[in-house]
Amino acid sequence: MTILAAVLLLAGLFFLAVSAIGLLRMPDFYSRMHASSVSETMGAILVLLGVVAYQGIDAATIKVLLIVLFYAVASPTGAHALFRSALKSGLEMWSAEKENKR
Amino acid sequence: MSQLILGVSIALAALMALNLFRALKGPTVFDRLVGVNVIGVNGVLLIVLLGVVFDRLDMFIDMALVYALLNFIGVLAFSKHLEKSGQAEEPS
Repeated sequence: MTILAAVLLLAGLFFLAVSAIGLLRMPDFYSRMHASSVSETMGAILVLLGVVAYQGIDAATIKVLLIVLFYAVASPTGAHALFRSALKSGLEMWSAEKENKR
Repeated sequence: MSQLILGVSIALAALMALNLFRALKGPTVFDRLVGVNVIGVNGVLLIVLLGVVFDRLDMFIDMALVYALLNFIGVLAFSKHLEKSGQAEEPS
């Protein structure tokens, strides 16, 4: 069970690192959002499942599973709301042609 | 194994510092908002992992739950507000 927990924790850490690097390196808001929100959901769920696998099922880890369920629903919802508000307020998308004209 | 969990916690804190860079620098309001949201998610994970390290998960998990809910409500409220006010670009 410990090996499973270690694998899940390290995989989650990898996804969170991908999210942070995407947030730093991508050229505009929409691509940053795409890089960070998807892999961030995956990484958070994997790390929490790693904690559950390490501790075993008891009263506290059932609440951890509750957080997993909450993130699986709420994190894409929050990303969608943010994306929609940026689109509605008229933020322009990045493209290579526009970048070259400058 | 507990050393691995401590190492993962330290790495999470380093990732939070990377995201803080985007939250401070971000050209638009939305970039800052995404940075703060990601920092909040990493903070929840950090609280849970520290609960494992200190062997008091039953106490720490309630804080993590409340923090996750507050973070989500905050993002929704800010995106609703910014959608109404329509300020896409910050004056640079």
